[in-house]
Amino acid sequence: MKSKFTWIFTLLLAFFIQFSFAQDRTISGIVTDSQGLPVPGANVTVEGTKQGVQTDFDGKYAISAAKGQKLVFSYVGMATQTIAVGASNTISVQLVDGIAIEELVLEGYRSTTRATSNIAVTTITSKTIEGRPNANFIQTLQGQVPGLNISTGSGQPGASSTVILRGLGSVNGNVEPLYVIDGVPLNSDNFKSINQNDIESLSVLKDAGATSIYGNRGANGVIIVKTKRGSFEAPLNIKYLGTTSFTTMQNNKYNTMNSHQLLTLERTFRKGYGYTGGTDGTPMTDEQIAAYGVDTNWRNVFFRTGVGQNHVLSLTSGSKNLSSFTSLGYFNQEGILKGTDLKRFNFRNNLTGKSNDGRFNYGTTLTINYSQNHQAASLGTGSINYNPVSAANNGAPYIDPKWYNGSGADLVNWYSNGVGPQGVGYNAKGTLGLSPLVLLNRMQTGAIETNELKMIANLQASYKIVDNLTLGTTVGADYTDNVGLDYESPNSWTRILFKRDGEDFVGSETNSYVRQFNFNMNTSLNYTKTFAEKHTIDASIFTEYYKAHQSSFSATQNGLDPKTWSPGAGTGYIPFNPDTPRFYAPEIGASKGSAGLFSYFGSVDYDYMQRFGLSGTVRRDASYRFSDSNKWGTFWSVSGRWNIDKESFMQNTAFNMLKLRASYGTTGNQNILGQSIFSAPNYTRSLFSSGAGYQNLNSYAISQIGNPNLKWETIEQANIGVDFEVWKSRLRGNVDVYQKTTKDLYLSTPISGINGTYTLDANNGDLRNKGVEALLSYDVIRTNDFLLTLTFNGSYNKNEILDLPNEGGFVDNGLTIDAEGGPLNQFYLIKYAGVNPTNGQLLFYTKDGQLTENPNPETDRRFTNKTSLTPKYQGGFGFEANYKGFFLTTQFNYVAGIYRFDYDLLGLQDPSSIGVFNKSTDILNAWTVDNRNTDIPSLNVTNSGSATSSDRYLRDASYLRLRYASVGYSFNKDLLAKTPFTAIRTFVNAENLVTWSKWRGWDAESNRGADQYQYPTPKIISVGLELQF
Amino acid sequence: MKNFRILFFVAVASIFAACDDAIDIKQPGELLPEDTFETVDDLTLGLNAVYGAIPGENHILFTSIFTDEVKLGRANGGQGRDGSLAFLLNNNSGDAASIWLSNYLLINYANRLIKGAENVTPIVDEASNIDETDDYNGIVAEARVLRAYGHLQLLTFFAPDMKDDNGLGVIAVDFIPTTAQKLPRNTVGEVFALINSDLDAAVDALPKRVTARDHVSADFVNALRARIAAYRGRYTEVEAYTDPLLVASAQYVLTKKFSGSNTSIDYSKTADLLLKSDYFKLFRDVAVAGNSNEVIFKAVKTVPASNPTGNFYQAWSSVNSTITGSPFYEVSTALYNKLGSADIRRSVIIDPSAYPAYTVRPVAKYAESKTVPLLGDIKIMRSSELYLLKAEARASASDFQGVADQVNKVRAARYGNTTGNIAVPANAQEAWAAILNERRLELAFEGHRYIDIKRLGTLAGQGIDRTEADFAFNGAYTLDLNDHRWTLPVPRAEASANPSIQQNPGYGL
Repeated sequence: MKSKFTWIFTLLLAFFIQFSFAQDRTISGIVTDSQGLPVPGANVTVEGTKQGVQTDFDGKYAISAAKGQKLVFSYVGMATQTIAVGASNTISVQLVDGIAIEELVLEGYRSTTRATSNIAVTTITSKTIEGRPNANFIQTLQGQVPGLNISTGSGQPGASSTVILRGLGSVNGNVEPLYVIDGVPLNSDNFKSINQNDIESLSVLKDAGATSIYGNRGANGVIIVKTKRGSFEAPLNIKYLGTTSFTTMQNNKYNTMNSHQLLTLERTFRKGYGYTGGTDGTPMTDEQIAAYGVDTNWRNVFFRTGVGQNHVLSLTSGSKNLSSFTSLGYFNQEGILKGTDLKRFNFRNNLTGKSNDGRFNYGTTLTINYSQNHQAASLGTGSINYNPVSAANNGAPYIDPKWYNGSGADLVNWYSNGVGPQGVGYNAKGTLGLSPLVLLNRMQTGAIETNELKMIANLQASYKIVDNLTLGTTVGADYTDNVGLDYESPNSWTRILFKRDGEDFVGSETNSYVRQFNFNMNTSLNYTKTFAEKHTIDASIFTEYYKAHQSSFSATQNGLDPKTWSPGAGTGYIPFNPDTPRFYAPEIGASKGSAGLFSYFGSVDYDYMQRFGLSGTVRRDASYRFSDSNKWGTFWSVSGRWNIDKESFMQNTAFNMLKLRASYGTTGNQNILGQSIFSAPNYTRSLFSSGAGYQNLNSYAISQIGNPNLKWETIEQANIGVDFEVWKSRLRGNVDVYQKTTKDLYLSTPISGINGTYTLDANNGDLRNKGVEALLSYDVIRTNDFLLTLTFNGSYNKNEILDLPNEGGFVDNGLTIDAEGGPLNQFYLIKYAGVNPTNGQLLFYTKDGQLTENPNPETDRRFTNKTSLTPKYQGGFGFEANYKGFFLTTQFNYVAGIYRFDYDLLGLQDPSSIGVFNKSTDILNAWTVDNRNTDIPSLNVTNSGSATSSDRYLRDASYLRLRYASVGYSFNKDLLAKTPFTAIRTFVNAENLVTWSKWRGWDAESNRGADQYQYPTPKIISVGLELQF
Repeated sequence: MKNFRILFFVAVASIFAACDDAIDIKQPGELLPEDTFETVDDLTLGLNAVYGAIPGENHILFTSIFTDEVKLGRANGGQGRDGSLAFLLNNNSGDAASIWLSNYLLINYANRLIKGAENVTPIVDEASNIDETDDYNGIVAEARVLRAYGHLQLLTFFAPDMKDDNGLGVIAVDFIPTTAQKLPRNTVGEVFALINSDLDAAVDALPKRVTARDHVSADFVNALRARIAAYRGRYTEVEAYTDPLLVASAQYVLTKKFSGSNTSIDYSKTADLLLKSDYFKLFRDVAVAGNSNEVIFKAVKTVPASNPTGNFYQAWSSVNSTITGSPFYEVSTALYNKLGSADIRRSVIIDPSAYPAYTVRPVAKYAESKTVPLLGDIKIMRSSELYLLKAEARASASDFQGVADQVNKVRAARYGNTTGNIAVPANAQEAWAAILNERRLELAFEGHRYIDIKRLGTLAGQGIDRTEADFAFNGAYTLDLNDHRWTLPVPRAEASANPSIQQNPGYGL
């Protein structure tokens, strides 16, 4: 013990002495990360001086320092190292992960530090994503990134969300960001197969300075996903994360009736069982109603508490030249709607390797995912024999689910004859009131199943040809195979009902597949050098090649044998018979398509002593979609920064970081129709197609009128931003303002109907989004034991149509209108005034404010400036507290300035279907001569047809939600010393726990303009355990 | 260095080899317009598309709901309440948009075929006894007749006054339009000139090709000319076209109520009706024996083999046309009350399953065809209409006996005897009323009622005839005969593309 102490003491003393005799010389070296890959943009400073440089693209640096001085190597996301200058002129360090990775800025084709980044970007780390029970990791980002609006309109496990960055930038084209996973750009936002626990970080690139380099696909922003990797020279680390989750429905405020209320209402309205269910078809008496024993809450019949499980096992290790990260995941979530679920299995292996001399570096990722998904049919439609939510919402409570005995044929008989057990035919033959029982039958006899195999593989490699010059390549492939099975068994009520004379076997089964293969290759040459220790140039040129193929096939068998048929097995198929040609004919279909892009581009980044920076990119892109004259587009950007905190006048202020950024540039959107790379593949050409014509004979018909002038949508974006850290970084944040203009908007341009169609897709019109975004976090308490951080982010976006091709400058969509000077798809409605107290009719305002019972939809609709597409304001706030291993996190999410129709409420208040469906207790307050002062019209209202183009059911869908809360405990390392574990963490998470909103429906959140019979998103409570050893 | 070579190879390959195959892509199966019509066989396939584009259902549905043919059905789930049933009609109405567009689509298909035919030379090879000339000429002639039919349908619904040659017509299109064209409406006279030139040019070529009634024949051309003459109020021209088709030796004898010697039918049984009634068979698209087939042209409708329902699925009923088939709409009380118990038309218009109580009255004119429920061929011209057109000519000549004679020919066929015959009308108004009433019954659910009330309502002193009890839910019982809604609005979709289009009176652009 003594000798050791002496040795350390001696060492310190030696430093001191050497310091005294210091003399400047140039020290150089390479900064690498834990995987041995060079760290570009790492800060190297001489401690106690203002001297500092940044590592170049290869992690190299050169700095003047004297022997005995200390060099401080720092890089955001990694632990800072301090090394004294010794005898050697070379100091290379390997930085290990340590500090929160938020500071790392991924820019896609390169990485920088927060200080030297010119761009608007928000990064989310694994800490935020891990352990959350959302099947689709995108949902986890909700409310975390200013300017990023995520709305999910379905509670189906794994459902896709609509992701809009900085307002809608297109009308018909893709509006969602490009997703790049480990350098592989994906063709869709289908993430239900991806294991979110493999993700290390997500960066949302927003301004043109960041996205322009993605040229053809960067128009709506870019989200870069980086998965986890191992470290060189690291021991084996095994981590297990397990969660169990419980999903339940969020409550609505519709106040549906119970049996007694509904029967009484029916009796009053003289329709339905309450009116005919008495003795010998007479109205029920009060006693009969009071004695009626069935009171079904159909919500509880169709919905359930879903149980989910998630297990992730990951292994990381590294030797001298090779490191690996391997993970295995199993995820299973039952949907709250019975019969829906998602199960998946994930495997990932990420390898990193290098040559002995460090000049050649490579990394590979491979992920194989298999998921199985069961979905409900016809959600959001009024299909009362397929959509289970319709019955859950308004099934009559006096029907008993026990009446359904499992036989579709019996149910068809009750329906047709109006006779069945327990007075099932209560509301006449052939009407829709029995639909809850029909839907019970559907749940038993039909299913939609999708099995998805998704593989993403890539190879990234770089080779340093000479100092300052590196050649790199990324090759990636994304393969998705969807196998679908959709069946209706021979016991299906619908199939039996639609059975034709002589058709002995009913039921049908469709087997299908869709295969997609995307290939991406990027090659780059990078040059980086620091001149005169002040000027750093980092220049790259790239080419990128993208090719995608898709094929699909489907076969439907009509006619199944009930004894031998088994879903998907091919047994029980009834053979085709020429004598009954209409019954058992199979149907087949197939499709095939290819798509491709090619680009070359370059970027230059200049830095002056980390005080000023200037970057420029230019990209030439070609898309397979356009004719030769419009095939190529050029997109460019410039961006710059001024690190004000480096100026001498800032040295004694509270600011420890202050940076001003600005960028301007253009990006293109070549996905002009929807999100898929395969859509609109040949819209430049007029085409005929062959197919079924008159009497099912083959025919040639014009199928597409070409537009040879189609071209890119171009988005011009200007952005000014400030990044700051104050009071020893206790308060951190950034503010951005932007203006984004879409030119050559791809729109359905009206053409005369004499062409056989009213619209031709063409580039016409301009659209602008402008807004402000802010992100703030503040450490209220920051001690060794206790950390309390408040976070806030918010954004405001204004969407405005600048120019439209239509006559008069507007497109009338019926309930909405696109008009120049207003937002996209603003509601265009007659203003509802209330109920006329004299007669119980609906009252509306004419355009000039007069009251009328008969408004004219041509002249009385008004601009409302309200839309359902994206909210005006949105964001999130919360806090994060850590106290001696205990942690508590909350995240609130809000959106404001968004509207949509509540058609569920309309249905529940509509008197015309009394006797068939359940109603809201609201209509007990309907207008009568004795109840004139009400907002519910008379049950005998005759002008409700006029209400359909009014704002009577347009509702403010703003909400504030406790989106996420987590509480847990991390065991102290000392406690674990005697166990095999290196870390143990337990937690309880809650998603969507509480919502405050004027919206009365199940879910204030939606990505639609109107909601009816939709699958609501659930509340999720989960408990989890993390073990490391 | 080995690594470097691999990388270098990859880099070079990506730059030079890969470019074109990613950006010059032709999708499988693309058929360019210039490659489409090369032979007469190709033209035949083109003609299949033209026939397939004949709009059948939209105007029939609109007419039935907007006028007085239907009432709310027992299983109505909201259909029609906020539209035609309440006479709500404006420039955003889907009916106007689809009737306008579907007829122009038919015209567009016809024009593309007619234009494409210009580059095709029919093969004439005497040695092998091949001569495609008649086929070639016939195909072009059929396309021209269908083009004329499309224009006539457009005038029927969109021209404020078909009797005024200088009034607003529709856009007359005998060319392949460019997407940039923004054309004003032609006058009624100009559109009829195009219709007539098409019919005149076609009539001689047709007999050499068309024999079946599922294609347009020369007889159809003449029948159409009769309809046009009546619509234009040129009654002196009508009988020149109707009479040759209505002689006893012609093929279009009115289809009889009974088959052969049957005289008793169980009206509650579809099977019995199918066995014993020719008129019933006609509307189930079952062949009628002998020459008792009054159909001059019908557009045959088919569905893919596996479809369990046809072109009228979810039109008036959801599942099928029986009383348990979830009818959204049912035959109106007013129309039902006009149907005599011996009138076979009652069993065609209202499903036999409603017999005898008729408390639920599902629309059954397109109940079933080729064993598929809710499928039906669209009868575009039947000889019964010609008798009633002739009756109009007689009425206009104040020959009221002649009116009764023609109307009674139809009624006698439907009743199977003379018990349903009408008396000779006492005056012009009664004569027109008798014709309007008979058209209402005979052509119910065939898309005529809207134009008939507009054409004949004032003469007959009758308009919309809705029973109050049927429409208590919205109070929409009548619509003035001078109301602007008797002409459809030019759809907003057209107006927003085409600044030179003129809107009909009473509507906004």
